[in-house]
Amino acid sequence: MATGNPLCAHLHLRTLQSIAGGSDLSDRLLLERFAATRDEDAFVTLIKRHGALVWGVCWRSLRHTQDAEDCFQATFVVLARRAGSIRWRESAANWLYGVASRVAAEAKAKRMRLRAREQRESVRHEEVVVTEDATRELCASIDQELKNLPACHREPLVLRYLEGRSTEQAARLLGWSPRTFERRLAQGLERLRGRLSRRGLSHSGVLLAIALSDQNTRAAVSANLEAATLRSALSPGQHVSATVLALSQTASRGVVMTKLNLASLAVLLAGMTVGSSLLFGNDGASAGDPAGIVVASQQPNASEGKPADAPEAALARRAWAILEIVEKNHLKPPSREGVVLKGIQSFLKEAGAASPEDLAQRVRGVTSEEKLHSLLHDLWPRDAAASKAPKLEAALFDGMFDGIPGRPHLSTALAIKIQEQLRGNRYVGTGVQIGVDEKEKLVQIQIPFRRGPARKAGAKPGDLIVEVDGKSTLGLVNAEEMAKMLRGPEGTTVVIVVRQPGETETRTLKVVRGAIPLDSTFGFKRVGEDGWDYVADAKARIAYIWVKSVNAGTLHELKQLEARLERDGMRALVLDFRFSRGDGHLHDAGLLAGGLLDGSHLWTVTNVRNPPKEWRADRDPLFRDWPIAVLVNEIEDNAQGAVLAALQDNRRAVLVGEATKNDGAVRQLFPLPDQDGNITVLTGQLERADKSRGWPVRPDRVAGLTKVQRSEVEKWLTMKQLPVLPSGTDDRAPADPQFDEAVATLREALKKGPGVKEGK
Amino acid sequence: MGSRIAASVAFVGVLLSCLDASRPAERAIAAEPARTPLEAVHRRPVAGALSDDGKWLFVANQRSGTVSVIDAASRKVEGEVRVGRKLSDLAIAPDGKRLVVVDEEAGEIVAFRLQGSTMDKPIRLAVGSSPANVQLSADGDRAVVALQWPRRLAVVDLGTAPRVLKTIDLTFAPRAQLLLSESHKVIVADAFGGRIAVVDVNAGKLESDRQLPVHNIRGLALSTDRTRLLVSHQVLNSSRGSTSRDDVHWGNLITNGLRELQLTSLLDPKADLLRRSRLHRLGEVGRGAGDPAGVTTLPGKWIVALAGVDEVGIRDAETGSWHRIAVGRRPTTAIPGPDDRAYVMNTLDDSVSVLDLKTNKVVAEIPLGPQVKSNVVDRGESLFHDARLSHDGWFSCHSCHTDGHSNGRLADTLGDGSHGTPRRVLTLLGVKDTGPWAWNGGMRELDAQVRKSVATTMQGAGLTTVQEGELVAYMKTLSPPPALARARKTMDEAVVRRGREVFEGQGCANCHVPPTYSSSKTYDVGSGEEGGNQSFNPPSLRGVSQAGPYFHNGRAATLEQVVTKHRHQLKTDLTKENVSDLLAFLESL
Repeated sequence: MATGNPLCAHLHLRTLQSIAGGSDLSDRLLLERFAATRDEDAFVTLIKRHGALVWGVCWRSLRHTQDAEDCFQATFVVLARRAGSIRWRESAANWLYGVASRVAAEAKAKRMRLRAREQRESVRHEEVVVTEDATRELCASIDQELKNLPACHREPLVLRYLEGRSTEQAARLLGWSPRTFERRLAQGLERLRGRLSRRGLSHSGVLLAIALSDQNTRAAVSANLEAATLRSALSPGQHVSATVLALSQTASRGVVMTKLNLASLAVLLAGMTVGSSLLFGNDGASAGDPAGIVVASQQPNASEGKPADAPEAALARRAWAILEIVEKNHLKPPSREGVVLKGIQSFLKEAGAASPEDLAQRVRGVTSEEKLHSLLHDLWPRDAAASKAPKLEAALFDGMFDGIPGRPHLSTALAIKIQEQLRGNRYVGTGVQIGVDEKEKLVQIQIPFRRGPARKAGAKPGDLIVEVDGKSTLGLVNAEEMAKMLRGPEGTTVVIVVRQPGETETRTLKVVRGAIPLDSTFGFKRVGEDGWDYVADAKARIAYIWVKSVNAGTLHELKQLEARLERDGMRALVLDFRFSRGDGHLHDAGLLAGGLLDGSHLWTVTNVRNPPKEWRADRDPLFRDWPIAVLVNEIEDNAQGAVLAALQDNRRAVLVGEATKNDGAVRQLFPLPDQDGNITVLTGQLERADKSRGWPVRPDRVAGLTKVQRSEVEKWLTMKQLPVLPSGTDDRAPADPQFDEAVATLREALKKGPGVKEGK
Repeated sequence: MGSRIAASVAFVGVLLSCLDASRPAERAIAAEPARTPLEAVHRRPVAGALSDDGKWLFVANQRSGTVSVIDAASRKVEGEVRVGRKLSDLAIAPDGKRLVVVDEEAGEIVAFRLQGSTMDKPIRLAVGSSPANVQLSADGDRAVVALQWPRRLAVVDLGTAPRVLKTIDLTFAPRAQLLLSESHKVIVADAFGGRIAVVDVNAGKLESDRQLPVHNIRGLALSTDRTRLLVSHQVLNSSRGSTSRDDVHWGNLITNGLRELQLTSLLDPKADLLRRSRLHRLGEVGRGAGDPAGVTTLPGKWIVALAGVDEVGIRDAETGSWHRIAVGRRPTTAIPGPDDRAYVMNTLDDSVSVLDLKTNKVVAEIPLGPQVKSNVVDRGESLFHDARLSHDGWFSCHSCHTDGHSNGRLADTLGDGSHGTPRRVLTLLGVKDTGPWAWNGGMRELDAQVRKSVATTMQGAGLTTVQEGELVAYMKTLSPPPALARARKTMDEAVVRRGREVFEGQGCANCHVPPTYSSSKTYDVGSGEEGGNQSFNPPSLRGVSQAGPYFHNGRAATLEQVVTKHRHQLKTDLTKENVSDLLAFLESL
């Protein structure tokens, strides 16, 4: 449909370009103009201006690209529909925030209902390939609590921290005096902090991770989505998908807020100065990345330039591709017939049609894509609007997936790319946290991050930025603007001139934008600004490392630590895997386990396609001859689980704590042909090196924690991720019987172990 | 001073010509007096040694076949002697009275009497093909020479009647050596892969031959307390790492390392070599240290040349910390001198950097002669050895295709879209005739393969078209390795003829078509792998005796296993004689 419409093509092209026209106008003027003349440029400007905000709300709430896209579109459809019927404020951000929240909440509830059904019907397997982001709850909580604040407190927070507006700008937009704005801002912050702390979240601002979800936000609003949204908004009847339409109808009254940079709030909540704003000089990761989201159902086969297929043909092709992938790769492939039958039943239900009596027989006859096509053709509701196609498709897949053990799921290439970037630990930027110094009227570097490019170039906390790439930044009191100036692709240089507050001498920093390694390991105690003390027991010379996650860089971090801990005279190690969250790749687990073991058998992966594959370690174990105790609790991730099992099975470490919750399922991603998407399918099972043992991993020494201890330990660990501790807190280790047991185990081992004699 | 050396060098020239005439059996010596000014040629310094309490530095130049004599005080080249065709090593006896130069191309060593800066009384001795390294005994009368392609050591008497006393066969091509004079044992390391052997020189006996999980061993040195052996090498993480961006970035694919082995474990043939060993990882994320080469130990300091990134690494024993200093291009070894000085051979820059080890700074760079403009092949050679072609400088082409050959390891290069199916690194020697390239024969053009390797295996910034051409031009100069039987001169023509009949009778030549013993198609030979790839392009059999392990996944350790254990594409059963004839034929290719 889109292919034949010159207007759409034209719009699409235009949205890809940066549209300058009208961008200076306030939202109110743009909306008035749009309502009066259907001015597309005005609407495009609105999408561009608030796209990140809306996407952020949708994404954080749903964490599902397709769903988030639907909600994103629905929100703007509502905006378009109501453009002429509301008395707009200067900024529509508040209103969009509210609508997006409601739309997303509705979509989420719907998905929960669906999931509850799935769980009743099939055993859920844990994911190896893709797991959830650790910060999800926190983000969702901040969003939710923000939404619950009264408008007079929410609005200043949104304008300051999410839109990065100066006091003057924000006050003007709200029609308040600057003093009123500042007062309400402070009050809003206090209230939000209070609400979050009641949720037990006051100190778990997982700063870097949240910033990453902020990055997801930025990366995800693609030109394609913008174009699709614009089409939907301009002529909902014609171009909008049914899901979007349904969602847009659930959102009625206008309310709330704006573009929230959650990261900045997290910092504030962690006790930073009021009036600062946190941003990452980042974007390199998404720069030059054309991976757009194609709403597949809207552009069937557009890429091949053929006339648009009948929707059932495209659907049959997609469904058949999925069936083939599952048949070829699934660990226990279900019968095709059963899968198709479930799919068709669900499809018919969505279509509101009764099952033909001979359905089972007809499904049995589906032995090729053509036959599936003809079956779908026969069953396709004749009166269905084209917009019904996505719903029918969703229903068909939904039913099919119900019939496949370990329920597969679909994800876009973009979602996978984001996951990979997180897993690969290659977040790109200058690596600074900046804020506005109101007194000096300059943007200030609050924290140059550990091992970040800015710090390498000599940036110091408190540095005021007076010049960027030869341009004076005097009077630039907008942190967001500054962040834009600092952003750029990996490997490019930005020259920053800085000075310390109250001083006149300036320093010129040449910052080469690059990866900001996000630590996956942490020490026992903080030392200074960004150092760690790893000593857990100085007398017995036992070191401690918390393995927060297992990603591509984890092994490297341990390599660095080995040299350091050896120098410090350590000779035994507590590896804490509690509350560790994986990015879930078996490959990374293999690297880590392989780096801790000496040529040993790690585990075996069995799957249907290949003979069982034995994974082995290389011959250069880290911490050779050191006794190791591993702290473990209810880890669900199979990557971590696999590492723990390999350490236990080869008697490399004593596991202390509680049993894990992983099940050893292996999933793999398969690209779907001729579309931007992937399917994740259960393909294999991990078998432990010690065949007598299974999953979950049980500790060698059982040790538990009380509820209070548990929460204290979790808090202590989580806080390690903050770049600086909130004022008034310290990082003293809490009462922790599991840790005590681990240390006791190591002391025993050191007394008798052969490794000790061989030590230094 | 200057005149003295000139005179002595001239004297050497005269003397050498006399020698040439009087001893026709020890053929051709192209020694010429040093020219003033020095000739404009490529030199390629690869080895050096100091004499006379560090007053004189003698440098062996690979390409020009000359030895440059440098006055350490004035940091000037005082003379240059043409000694041979292509030099690979140079050593001075502990008593300072004998200098031995290795002529790789001529298969000879040349021993000089050394007095101050004067090299005279040369003795030229054929030792076997491709000598790569020489070690001298404490008295200077005995030399142990590593012969690369013949896979053997030659023990040479340099005394009154110079001769090769004995040869000791090895299972691998040797390169780096270290002679433990007090025990008459020599430690010898693989030129490409990770084997390390201990040979009793007096008894002529191979005491142990073990595998380290490493490759590209370029430097051996004893710790100053003589309890540990330091080995510079690389590790290709075959089983766990892949050439994905992440793994390259985080150093999960290649480790550049300096390994401390306990000498007691090494000398005990039954001990686990890695027991109480330590691996020092060189380089860091964002700043790899590709291709560690020569290593030197001093009290409180280790120096390792980082050939791929044009730096040397200096480790302070007290703090365990490393300093890295930029030197000239492709530093291959460093020679410690008096007064906290060290001399670094910048092979591709034709220069020597002088380091001050107190301040860890380069205090001078000594050019060995007038610089010559590089041609396309020279620039290709330079790129081939440049680790900065890879992301963050972790490795160069040479890292895995060591000296253009293969490190014998498996690498998961994801080259043809498969994952988790590491394949054996192929040799590039003779590569110009072995198209199509890649295991699946997917690459019709060599430059396309090169482009792909740099982009996807090395994860580098990519090559310009010009660079691509240069690399390919260099690679096309690499000729196949000599067959083992030819290198050892053990070929029996009659047996080889019979073996050829077996080869042809079994239809081997259908896929391995002479003269390259390869062909352009791919075949399913039942060696299929898990990733689903069943068909492979038959690798060329030229130099196959030097190329193990065999098959794409390296599952046959020897050629014999290919025939007997795997019965690779045999039509009929072979008798024992058939097998040995066939092997003899293959080893003649």
